[in-house]
Formats: sequence, structure tokens, C-alpha cells
Amino acid sequence: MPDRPRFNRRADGAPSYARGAKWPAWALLAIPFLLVILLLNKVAGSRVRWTACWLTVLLFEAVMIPVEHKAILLGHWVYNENRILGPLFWGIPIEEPLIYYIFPPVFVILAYETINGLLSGSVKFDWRSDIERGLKMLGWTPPASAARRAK
Amino acid sequence: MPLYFLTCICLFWIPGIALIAANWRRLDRLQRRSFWILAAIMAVVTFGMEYVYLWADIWDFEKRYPLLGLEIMGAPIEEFTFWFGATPFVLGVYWTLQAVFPSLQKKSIATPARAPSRRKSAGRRRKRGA
Repeated sequence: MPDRPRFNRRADGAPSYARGAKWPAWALLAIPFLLVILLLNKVAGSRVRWTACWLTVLLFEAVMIPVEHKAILLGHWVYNENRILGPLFWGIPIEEPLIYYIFPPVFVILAYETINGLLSGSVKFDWRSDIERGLKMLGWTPPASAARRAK
Repeated sequence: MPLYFLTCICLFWIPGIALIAANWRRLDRLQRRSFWILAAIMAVVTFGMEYVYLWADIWDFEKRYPLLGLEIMGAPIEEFTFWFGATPFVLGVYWTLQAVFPSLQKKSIATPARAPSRRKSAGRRRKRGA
């Protein structure tokens, strides 16, 4: 774990710090989340009540945005300016409302529907073909499936 | 006052537990089991994520407001009350929305197209005849 940083004050009074090389770690680390969401959507997307799901996301955003704004001002969370994309929405790094308030609720609901489907037997998880299909959606054909098709 | 801890409790745990309790009777055995399995998976996943984010030095804690003082491998315990509380909160809201608005229980995707009603088709026939 890195040592404690030296905090500065932003114009709005919130603490901040900038340390290390600049790369958007906060946004890039959401990619595994996205891949798992795509895979779960293939498997159990048809079981999800999408209107209820998106309303849940909206409510989550509505609750979290003011709370995070206050939490950042109070210093509960202090973001490293060198690890975020840069633009802020009401003092909050843009990754939060655009990525981290959307993906986790959708992930929780998709995972719940997948587990429930697996337990009830209405969902079958064929790991190999589901992962292959997910990769194909991203435009990459795994060599194993290409070889199988060639046969 | 441990403001961060109190925020997590008031924001996620109290509403989350209340919503789960309100929906618990409607759930069948498999749904309840799915909830516990998911809660266990999310606890493991978010536990790992916290350390990945701390390792990547994405955030820190100013500690201007007192934390409880308990830490798990350098991460304040409040972080885990935040992460673990989100799962019951999200599922509680998802179930409650479906209970309060039964129309949301219909799957919004792959809904079959409605057949035209008799009256409309009869009207069309009459027009054609005229």
C-alpha cells in the first residue's frame, strides 16, 4: 500500500492530491466489470426486469451523487488527480456517475438473476461457449473456436 | 463522530435491511438462497476490489473526520460497510419496485407485439367496404 499522500485544497475546499504517473486507472479498472456484465447479460439478460433495473440505477445515482459530493468535501474519499480522467461533475470525478453508479447495480441484478436461474435450472452456464460468444461480441475470435470451425 | 461509518449505515444498511425484510416473505426458497450466495460473492469481489483500487493509488482518506480506527490490511473498516451494504440496498430496491409497480414484473424485453383489437380491424374493414 502506498504511503500517505500530501493533500492540497481544491477551489471548493475539498482535499485532493496528485501522485505518480498519469493514467486513468479508475476508468480502466472498470473494464473487467464490463466484460463480466456482457457475459452475464448473455446468460441471464432475458430474466432481468430491465425497467425495474434501470429505475434502480436511477435511484442509486440520485442517492449517491449528493452523498459522494458531501463525502469528497469532507475528505472521506480523496481522489488522486493522476488516476482519474479529469472532468468533474459537481466536484465528483466523472467516472463515478458514468461508470461506477451504473455498472455495480446492473452487475448485482444480473448476478442475482444468473444465480437464481442456475439454481432453478432455467439458466445453463456453458462457460466455454458463453465466453467465446462474449469475446466474439468484442470482435475477437479465440483461436480454439476458429480451429474447431475450420475442422 | 464517525461520520463516514454513520453515513454508510444510514444510507445503505438501514434502508437495505428494511427493504429486504419487507420483501422477504414474497421470496421463495431459491430466491432467498440466491440472495445469500450473491451477498457472499459480492463480499469477496468487493473485498478484492478495494485493495486493487488502493494498490492503484486511486484514492486515499483524509481522516479529518474520525474513522472507527479499525483497519483491514490498511483499508478502514468503513470502506467495507459501504461495499457490503450496496448489495442488499440494490436488490431491495429492485424487488420493491416490482412489488409496488406490478407492471414492472413483465419483462421489458422480448415482449410479444400486441395483436390489433377486434374493434379496430372491424373499423378498417368497414372503411375498405365504403
